[in-house]
Parts: sequence; structure tokens; C-alpha cells
Amino acid sequence: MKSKNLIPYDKIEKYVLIGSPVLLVTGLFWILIDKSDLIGMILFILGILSGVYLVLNRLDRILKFLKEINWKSLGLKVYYILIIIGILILINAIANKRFWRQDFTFEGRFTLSGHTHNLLKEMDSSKKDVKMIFFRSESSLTSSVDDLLKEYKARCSVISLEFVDPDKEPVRAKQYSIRSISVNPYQQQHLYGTVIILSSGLKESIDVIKMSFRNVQGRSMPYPGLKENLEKDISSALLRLSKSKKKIYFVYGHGEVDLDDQQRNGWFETKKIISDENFLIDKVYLVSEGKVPADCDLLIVGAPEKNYLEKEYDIINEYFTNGGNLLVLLEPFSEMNINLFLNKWGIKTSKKFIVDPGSSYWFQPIIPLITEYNYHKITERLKYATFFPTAAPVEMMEKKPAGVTIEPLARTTSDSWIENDLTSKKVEFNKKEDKKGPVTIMAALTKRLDNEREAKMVVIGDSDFAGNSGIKEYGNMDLFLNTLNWLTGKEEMIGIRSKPVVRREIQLTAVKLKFVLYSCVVIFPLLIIIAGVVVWLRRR
Amino acid sequence: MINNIWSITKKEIKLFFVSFVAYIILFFFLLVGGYYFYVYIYEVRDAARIMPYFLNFLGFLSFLLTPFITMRVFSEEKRSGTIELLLTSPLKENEIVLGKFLGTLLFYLVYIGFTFYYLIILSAYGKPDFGPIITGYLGFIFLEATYISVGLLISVMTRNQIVSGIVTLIALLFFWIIGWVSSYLPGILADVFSYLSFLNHYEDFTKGIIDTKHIIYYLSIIGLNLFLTIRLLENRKVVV
Repeated sequence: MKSKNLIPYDKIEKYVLIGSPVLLVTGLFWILIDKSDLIGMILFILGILSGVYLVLNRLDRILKFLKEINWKSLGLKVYYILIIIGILILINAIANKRFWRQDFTFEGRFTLSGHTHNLLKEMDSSKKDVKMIFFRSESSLTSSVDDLLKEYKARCSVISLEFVDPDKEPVRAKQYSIRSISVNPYQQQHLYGTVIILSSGLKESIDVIKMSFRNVQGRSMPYPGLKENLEKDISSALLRLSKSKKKIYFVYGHGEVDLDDQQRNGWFETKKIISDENFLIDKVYLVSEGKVPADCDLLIVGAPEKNYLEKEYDIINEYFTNGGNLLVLLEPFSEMNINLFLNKWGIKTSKKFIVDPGSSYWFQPIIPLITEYNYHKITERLKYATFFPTAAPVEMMEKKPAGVTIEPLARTTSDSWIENDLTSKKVEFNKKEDKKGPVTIMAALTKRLDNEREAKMVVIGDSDFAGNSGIKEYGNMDLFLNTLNWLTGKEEMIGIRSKPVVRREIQLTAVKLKFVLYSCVVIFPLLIIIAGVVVWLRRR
Repeated sequence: MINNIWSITKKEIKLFFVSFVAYIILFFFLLVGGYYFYVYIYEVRDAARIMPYFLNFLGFLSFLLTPFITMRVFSEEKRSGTIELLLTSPLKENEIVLGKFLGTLLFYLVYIGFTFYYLIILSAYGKPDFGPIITGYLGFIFLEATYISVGLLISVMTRNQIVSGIVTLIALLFFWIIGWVSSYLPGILADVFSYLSFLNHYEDFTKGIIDTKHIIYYLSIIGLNLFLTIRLLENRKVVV
């Protein structure tokens, strides 16, 4: 059978034949990437026009060719091919559900822990969509996080993954409040590295970059690095999202903060803000319930005016020792038998207030203004100042129970002191009676229960900062919500350990390097050319 | 059948080795590959990561070179008319296609064999992690086989080698570009484009991961292309 050309061509047509699909494809991609771009449109239209030219130029022959086609047989062939493509799509769809995946690196660099595997399996069967967006700069620093996130996606069909460069898409970055880390303030270099995880209207955010300092020629220079054990952070976030809404109980009955009071000292606004953050809120009267409700994710003791019964402290203590989370808010004028409970965990407070002339809200020393925080999950993203109207001190005792870590989060300046005299009209430092600062105003306590669980407590010397009048000012809301989020994030996957990244350094001398260059780039290719010439000559 | 396929394979490899063009392509392959290997050694200096980087680059380099190898496979025989002899011989179309496919693949693997020299250098100067290297080469075989299957399909459609080469390059470019275009697309379209990309499936192999999803994907594309090539050869029609 003689071969025949479907579309015959002359010289110009040959170029148009190649150019047309190139223009079409390039133009199409251009339009898809940048919808407003004129160049893409022009390329696309040129592609179509050249295609039309081809068809018109040889219309008679194309019509003749179309006439010659046996449509029935062609239809059958196309049908046959479509069936085969359909089968292949089916096989691929099954292969995506049932697959075997194995990491062959020496350190198991891409192997997720058993905890994460179990979590991803649960998520797969729950069918709840999870979206991961990694906002990061074009930098090799975060490439291992890319790999880690890709492992999550590969192992779980409900996860979708997207990478966004905030410099190229600033609007999206702003939408998720993505902040950059300044790497070199003098050259205005900055880096982004935040993973946002979204599911069922809830959001989790994980920062992956941390700044460290190293000594360069006697000067301390900052340099960026990745946080350790990111798998733990990501899996913990996924676990939190996969669970239902967290429930917060406020202890009532002793003149604690009032969630329904719309006055200055009330917590009505705060209640709305907490609800907007996807928490459920309820009240509990310990004296009538006799226990902390089983569905309680966080218990708040909000600056009681009256003393609790010892029995009530027993209930709170039992709740905490069994892995419960607790937020204790204090006021200098409240009754202070709460020390009965706090002292057991290495913290004490007193019926005194903090005075800080060094940093205060509108020159009112009894309202300390905190501008610097100790590094902690609660404070790491906080960039605003916070203030605490009349705050009681939160002091750490020398003795604390085993397995307990206490971290002060916010401290007043060294000009501050603990004022003993609540009645005096003139506030001044009295060496004999008052205690010199800095004074801790807020502390976080963690108690390790076993390998998997820990109980958390935060004690803050003030409650007004989060009340109707203070919550929306400065960074007070951020601090308060960060505290709630940290405390209710009890499903921290603390069993996951970070893997050390081992570098297998190559020690190369200048001679060795030259040998690599010459042998790979000069000698080797040259030998091939010589072999080619020999073969060519022999064939001649 | 296997004997017939093997005889075509042998003939194909022999044809490659006596062609001067194959040596020129190998020369470029080693020149560019060697230079990049040197750059990775100089820049990365981590024996565990150099070969994964290099294999990733090899995937890119091969997509540029493969069209020059596959462009002549069928086009040359069509131009010179030897295809008629081949088709009138007792050999079946599927044996011819499989033989030529294997011949081209094995010939290209000889190219790849030269990169073992880089491995020797790496082992002499450092302690490479052989897990990702083995999986990387395995992935490369799948990727290259996919490139070749596309090249053969296009080569069987034309008797003009240049057209065959350029169209193959465009086709491979298409499957290469859709990988990064997918990140700009919305929803399901992004998933489809990303799934169809040749290189997206290759990345895991170079990192040291073997995933049956990727193997099934490559086998599907190779199978479909070879099937279409066989059907087109049976029809003996030339498009351009």
C-alpha cells in the first residue's frame, strides 16, 4: 500500500504547521497564567489564524481527503481507542487509592511517623477536605518543608496542597495575615514561611522559620533556619482541625468575670470574640456539679471575688492532674485563697498590685504596658504591646513538683515593684514593704503526664485586659486568643521526634576539583567524539 | 515472538552505534551532564544530595535529547522505503514496534551507563546514599521509556525526520510545562494537569521514594503510546 500524506505542504506551510500549535499552546498557557495579559491573547489569536490559513489553503484537498475516509471504520477505531484510554484512567484511579510507597533514604528522611500515619488514615476515612497552603519565598531553605507537605498529600486523598509566594500574591498573603521574617534589615531582605491549614471553616497556622544568631567577625548576626520537628506541629494542627469545636467552661458562683455583662468590667464582648474563634462556651457551678464536665477542653477561673471552698479546689486539681487545661485570671483585690491550689504547682500570688513607672499605659503606673515577651508558642507571633489594668503578681516558688515546667511569658520592667499598700493614695516605692521588679505578670505551666499527654495551665495576674474595655485595645485580644488556642491545643502529638538531617560532606581539594572538571567535562566527551570519528571513518 | 522482538532490538542498537549523529548527541550529553555534575559537586558538597540533583537534571536534559534519537526510528525507514520491506516480512507490527522501542531504550541506557563514572567519583570522595540513587535510576528508566514512546508515536506519523524531532520536542515540552502551569490553575484542572506531568511523577524517585502510583502512571502512558504506534503502523499512513 502506498503511503499518502493527509495534509500536503509546501515550504511556508511547513513552518505554519509547526508554528500554529506552538502559538496556540503558548498563548493558551499565557492566558491561563495571567488572565489579563494581551500578549497571550495575541499569540492565541495568531495560532488560530495560522490554523485557519492552513485549512483554507488546502481546503479542496482536505475536502477530498474527508470524502475518502471510511467514517464507519474510523468511528470504530476511535471508539476502540477511547475504551482503552478509559480503562487506563480507571487503572490509574485505583492505583491512586491503593498504593505502596516506600522511602529508601538512609535516614528515612521522607518517612512519616506512625502517629501521623494513623491520623492520615482517620482523615482519609472521614472524607473531610483539608487544604494546605504553604506561603513561602523562593528559597532552598524551605524545600524540605515542601517535601514534608508533599508526603502528607501523597498519603491522604482529602488533603490538597498549594504553594504560594507572598511576594507574587500579596493579596492572598494578606488574607491569611502572613508575616515575613526580616533576614537582613539593612538590605531589606525578608523571608516567608507559614503553613496555613484549612478545614471546615477552621484555620491553623504554623510558622516554619526561626531566626538564630551566629558570631561573624565579633558581631552577632541573625541567620534563618527551619524549626525543629515540624512534623509534630503539622500533625498536631491536623489533629486539632479533625476534632470538633473546643468547649470552654467558665467557673461561676464566686463573682468571677460575667459573660453577659455589657458594662466596662463585663465580658460580653469577650464572649462574642471567643465564639467567633470557633469555641463553645458554657458556665459551670462546681459546687452543684461536683466535677468538671467531661467535655471540658479548658476551664477558666476568672478572677473570683469570693474564696472557693477547699472541695472546689480539689475538683479543679483533679481535673488538672488528669490532663485538663486551666486558665487562671487574678485581680489584686480578689480573695486570695487560690494560693491553696496554685502553691501545689509552684506558683504563688498575693493581694498586692504591680506598679511600673518604666512602661505604663498613658502614664498610669498601675497599668503596666508589656512590650517584650519571653519566647513561647503563645507569644511567638505577638507583635503588639499589651496592657494590664491593676495586675497581681504571678511569682514562681523555689520548689515545684517533678515533671512541671513553668515559663514566665510577660514581665514588667526593672523600674517596677510589687506595691503592698492597696489603700494609699500616693504610689511610691517603699524599700521596706515593697518588692522590686521585674515582676512576672503571666506564666505558662506544663505538666508532663506520660509520653503522649501533658496538662497545661496559664496564670495571668489580671482579668480586665481581656474584658469589654480592654480586649480590643493593642495586642490584648491576640494575647488572650493565643492563650486559649495554646491551652485547648491539647492534642499535641508529642510522641513525634524530629529526624536529624545528616550532611555527608565531600572534602575536596583544589586538585581533586580540577580532576573532576577535566575528566567529566573535557576528557570524557572528547573520547566519545574520537570514537564517533573512528566509526564514521571505518564506515566510509 | 520474543526472538523476533530481540532481533529487531539488536538491529536497532547496531544502527545507532554506527550513526555519527548518535556520537554527537552523546558528546553533548556528557559535556552538559559532566559540567552540571561538576557544578553540583562544587556547590552542594553533600554526597547524599548530589546524585538526586543530578538525576533531576538528567530528566530535563533527556527531554531535550530524546527527540534527536527517536526522530529517525520510523521516519528514516519511511523516507528510504525500507519500511515496506519490514512490513512485508513475516514480522508482526507489534513485534516491530516493541523491538524498536526496546532498542532505542537500551541504546539510551548505554548513554546513562556513562554517568556511573560520576558515581565512582562520588564514592571515592564521599559517602553517597545509595537508596535514592538506585530509585532515581529506576525512575529515570521509566521517564526515558515514556519520552521514547512519545517519540516513536510521532516518528511513525511522519517521514520527515526534522518534523518528527520538532513535534516530539513540542509534545514533551507540553507534558513538561503542564507541571508548573498546574500551580496557577484552579481546582480539578490543577490536579489533572499536575497528574499528567511527566516530571511530577519522576521527582519522588529521585528523592528516594518508590510509589506504585508513579509506576502505574508511566506504564499507562508507555502502553497507550505503543498501542497507538502499532495501530498507526498497521494503517501505514503518513500524516506529514
